[in-house]
Amino acid sequence: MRFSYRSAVVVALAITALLITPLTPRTAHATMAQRLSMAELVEQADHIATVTVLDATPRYDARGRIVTDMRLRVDEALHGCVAGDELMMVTFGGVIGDLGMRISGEPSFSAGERFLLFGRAWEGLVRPVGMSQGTLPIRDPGTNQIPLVGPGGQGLTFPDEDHGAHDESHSAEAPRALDGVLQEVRQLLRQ
Amino acid sequence: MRKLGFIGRLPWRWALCFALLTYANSAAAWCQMRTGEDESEEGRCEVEGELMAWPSYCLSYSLNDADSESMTLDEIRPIVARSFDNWRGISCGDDDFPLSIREDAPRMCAMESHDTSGPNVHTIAFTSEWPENYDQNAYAITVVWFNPRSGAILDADMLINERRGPYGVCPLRGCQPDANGVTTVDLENVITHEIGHFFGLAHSQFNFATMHAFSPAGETDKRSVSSDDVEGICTIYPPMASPVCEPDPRNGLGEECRAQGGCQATLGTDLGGLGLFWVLVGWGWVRRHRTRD
Repeated sequence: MRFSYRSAVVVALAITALLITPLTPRTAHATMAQRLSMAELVEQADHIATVTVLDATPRYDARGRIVTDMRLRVDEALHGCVAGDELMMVTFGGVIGDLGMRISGEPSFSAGERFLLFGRAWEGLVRPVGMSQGTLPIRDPGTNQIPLVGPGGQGLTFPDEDHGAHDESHSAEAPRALDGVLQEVRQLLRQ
Repeated sequence: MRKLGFIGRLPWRWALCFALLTYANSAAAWCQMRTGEDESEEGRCEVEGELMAWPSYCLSYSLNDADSESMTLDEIRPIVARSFDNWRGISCGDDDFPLSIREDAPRMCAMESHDTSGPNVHTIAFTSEWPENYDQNAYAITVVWFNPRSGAILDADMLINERRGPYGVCPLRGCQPDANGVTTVDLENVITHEIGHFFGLAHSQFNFATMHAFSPAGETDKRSVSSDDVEGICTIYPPMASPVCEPDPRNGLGEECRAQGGCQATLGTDLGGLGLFWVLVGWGWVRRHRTRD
């Protein structure tokens, strides 16, 4: 049986589709919110920094929700806070005893994890801008390799304001080099 | 033209491509919520913690008993019912939709809450008292309460942010911006998506899934539950001969919602009543003093 060039192209396309599909980003959980561009994240943030989670402590708030106080160490400050500062970021959700609570779209991190924070000041605490859109996880792929910044917005549904076309300027659709993202943020801060 | 001719002569190859693409997208594109607290890795469902699902195949929900700013309760009710019907209409192979959904009478419950020792309400509420510390840009949030050891969902509450409205019913082709540039948000589209989370589904990578993470304003596509969503829900809740059926919320259905610890929590409706009370008190005080003068 002979395969033509065209058949080979078609089969190659099909195989490529099968291969790349599992590599495309996927998010988890609910919530419908407005999608924020990197410029909007910068504009709405009182603090922008790469941070490391020192510890995370869940508690009930006055409204009866489970919230988690995350103590963050500022590693590299770009706006607002100073390197070496400690920030207390509050996120919704957590586990206390036999009860857990999750709010879709809220970020969740464990001690030792790093992320690029776009935070707004709120009653002496910090809230991430646009829920998980304001926390871009930093992945260290290994020694002698550039750290990557993953997309923010885990757990969010973004209705685009331009009626259909996805906003390509969004902070990150796929992991990007940390240096490049920080450079983009600095440029936006200068504007 | 040559290209068209090429395509025209090879319909079966393109059909094969389309089928493979569709298969690739639909195969395990759906995700199930988990109890884990770590962020998911890009390109994958969350892997930490227990899978979350209701232990009972019979569920219930209650609307908050107040009108929204853009719609009356009588207008909201059938839209929410239709949103559940969008899921009820699917089948799992030869079996019907596995879950049974009961609508309870509206309750005075405009906030997310769970009481481990008292009755609860699975509320769906519009709220103009959107908590300041929530994302002001958010249209809706779904709060899921669970047992961290088993992953059993204990309670779920859906809040819709009035400030991001107006909400309404869009024509099937979707809503367009009006003369002021305001686009009505299709309530059925939002709620059908959120119901997926109510059941324990997370977002899907499949572009045409109700549980897909992206949604243009005024969209109505998510009203139609896709094969990917069907696969997800039928996997999480496989058809059973005699499943557990306890539709009432944990510890029974409450008349109103109370937060953990028994503190009454009926923001929104109560604040409105309280406000009216203080207006009347103030009006009485002013009248009394004017009479004295």
